[in-house]
This record gives sequence, C-alpha cells and structure tokens, in this order.
Amino acid sequence: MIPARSSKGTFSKVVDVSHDETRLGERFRPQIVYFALRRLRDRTLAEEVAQETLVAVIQALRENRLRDDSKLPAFVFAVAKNLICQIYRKRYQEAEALPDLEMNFFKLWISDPEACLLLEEQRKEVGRALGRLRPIEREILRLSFDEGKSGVDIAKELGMGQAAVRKRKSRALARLRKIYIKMSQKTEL
Amino acid sequence: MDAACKKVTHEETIEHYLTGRLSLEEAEAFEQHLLGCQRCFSELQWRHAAAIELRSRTVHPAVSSRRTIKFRWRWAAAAAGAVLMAALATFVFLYRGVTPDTEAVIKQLASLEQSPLYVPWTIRGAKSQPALEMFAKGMREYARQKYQDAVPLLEDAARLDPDHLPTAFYLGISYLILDQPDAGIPWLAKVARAEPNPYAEESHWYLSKAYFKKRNLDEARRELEAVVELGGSYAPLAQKALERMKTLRHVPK
Repeated sequence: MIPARSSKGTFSKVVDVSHDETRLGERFRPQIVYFALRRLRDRTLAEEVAQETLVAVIQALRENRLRDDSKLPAFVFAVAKNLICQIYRKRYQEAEALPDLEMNFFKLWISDPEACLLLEEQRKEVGRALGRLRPIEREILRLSFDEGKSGVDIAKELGMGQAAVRKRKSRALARLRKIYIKMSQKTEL
Repeated sequence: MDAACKKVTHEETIEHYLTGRLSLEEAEAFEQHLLGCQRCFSELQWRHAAAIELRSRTVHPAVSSRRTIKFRWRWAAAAAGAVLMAALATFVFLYRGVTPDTEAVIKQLASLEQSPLYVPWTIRGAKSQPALEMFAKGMREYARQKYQDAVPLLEDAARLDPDHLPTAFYLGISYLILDQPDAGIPWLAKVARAEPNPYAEESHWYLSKAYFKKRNLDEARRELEAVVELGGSYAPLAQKALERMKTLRHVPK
C-alpha cells in the first residue's frame, strides 16, 4: 500500500482515487491498455505495458518521487509511453521515438473489435442502440466516426445545412449516450 | 463538464483521435486528459464501439436523394460488372477445363485481405545511413498504399544494402500487391531463407499467396506447410488453407 498522505495535494483531487494501489490500477489500467493497443495492436503486449507501468508508478509513489500530485496522469502517461517506445526499439532497432502513425494504421485499428475495450455484449448493445436511430443520423455518425469527416464536409456530402447536421449529430449522440449509460448501470448491478 | 471536456466535445477530438486525424502531440495531450477524465474515456469507448458497428453496416438507401442516386448508379454498374465478369469467368474456366469452384477457391487463397502493416517511425539522433533513408522513403509510400511508388525506392534501398531483411520483405509484398508474383517471389524467398529473422513466418505465408497467384499449387502447399511447422500466429490460417486445398477438384495448369 502507498502510505496515506495529508489531505493537501492528494491524488484524489486530481484523479478521484484513494492511495490504494489496487484502485490506482483500476483507475489507470484501462486507459493504458487502450493507448498501448492503439500503438502496438497486440493485446498481450498492451496488458504487459499496463502492468509494468503501474508497477513503476507505484514504486515512484512509494519512494515519494512524485512531488506534485496534479502531475500524476502526465507521469503515468510518460512511463507508459517510455515502455511502448522500448518495445518499438526492440521491434525496429533504429527507432528512437514513438512513431508518427499513418492514417492507414488507424483505418485498420478502428475497425478491429479487439481494439475496443468494451465487452462484446456491450458492443452489441451499442449496435442495437444505433439500430434505433434514424438512417440519416446513423449516416452522419458513420461519416464522422468512420471516415473522420468534419461537420462542413458531412453537410456538403449529404446536401444539408451545417446547423442541421450539427443538431442531428448532437441529438443522435445524446440518445446513444443515454442508452449506453442505462446499459452500463444495468451491467454494474 | 470542465473546460477541457467541453473542448473535446466541441472540437470533435474523439472522432479525430479515432480516425488518426490528430497530430502526434495533439493525440498525446488528449491521452493525458483521458488518464484524468473517466467521463471522456467512457465516451471514447462507446464511440469506438459505435464506429465498429457503423462500419459493419451498409449505408441506408434513403439517406439523401443525392446519395441515393449516386448509390443506385453504383449498384447498377456493380451488378452489370458482376454479371459480365461471371460470364467471362465461366467462359475462361470452361475453355481451360477448370471448374469455377476450383478457381474461386484458388483466387481466395491467393488474395491478400490487407497488406502487412507497417508502422513508420521517426529516427532521432540515429546515424544517417543512405540505405535506411531510402527504405524509410519507400515505406512512407507503402504506408500510403502507393505501392507503385514504393517499389523503385525499395529497389534502390536493396541495392544499397542487400542484407536488409525488411527491405526485401516489403519489396516482395509490394510486388505481390501489384500483382507481379514473379518479381515478388525472389525477394520473399530470400527473406524466408534468412536465419534467424522476424519475417520468417510471414514470408512463407505470402510466398504461398504468390504461388497461388501463379497457380503453382505444389509450391504453395510447401510454403503453407512451412508456416504450419513454424507454429506461429499464421499457423491456424495456413492449416485452414491446406484444408481448403483438399477440396480442389481440378488443379488448373
């Protein structure tokens, strides 16, 4: 366990966690796995990166090496990034920095269900929620999420006004979010 | 919702992050925000799931009149093309004495669903080496799927450093994608022979594809067996391909 600190400058202010190491893991692990997966496309390696990052962070906290608590997320990110970089160095000996990933890479990444941390059932639920949207709303979301088009481009492509696109997208997202939150609460129970 | 979260929503940061439209610095800044903001991370997760689901769906025909017309024409053209291709293929197959089923299986075995992924890197502080620089140039074109442009650059890189395995591997792959198996085979074979190398399994796998393209089933089988023997991540795929080969009724020459 990390020794408890005074109420001044606790991590809870910044990341809403106690100093319990397990909770620290719960708090940061999913994000680290996701970032690592995004770059490495290997679930086992991503899990390892998360594990090693958390060990290093906990070690630093035990040794009181982190003076400014507000810097914890940045510190966690830096450790994870360094580990991912080490993996790149092993893979490609010449690489000395994280790669500037190409668009092609993300097209493959985003369509891979393994890259999404949601469980299959949750993904299906999102799919069912999408099915309840109007076709035009689904198309706006597809152009936005899948093709990465801006509101201006979507409006041009669909022959609609920008304000109408923005409104429909916002309404569709709100409906999806509502369904997703409801579903998450059900899962937690 | 704090100011940073509002910025994420307003500037469509999640969509741009998912589709790789943020710069390296922007993406890293966003990731740091995600480490401190459960709400945005949760938002990102379900939007990613939505992107996967949306990609797997077909576009609804009644989205807009402009798109509908565009799509109708596309479908009509595609259908006409498909009928024409099927008629042509049947004629060719009958002429060559090969059943369409056999040809379909071979075509499927020869197909490259996607090119092997390559992640370009930024070299900082590394010693300048002409061969590596040329390789990096070629791979930038490869990552943009401009294989025609990648080939001459990779050829140059191979001339400068004939022992650089990644050059040989991606050169072989580029030729394969450009439907030039004869040009690709020597490069992939060179990689497959090298010992030890990280491309061993993949080089045998893609060599099998090259031989399928050439309708040389004996060599294709040998390459698939080599993949199975290596027992890596491609082994189950190779095993499946070998099983599919058994269903071939007639081997075209």
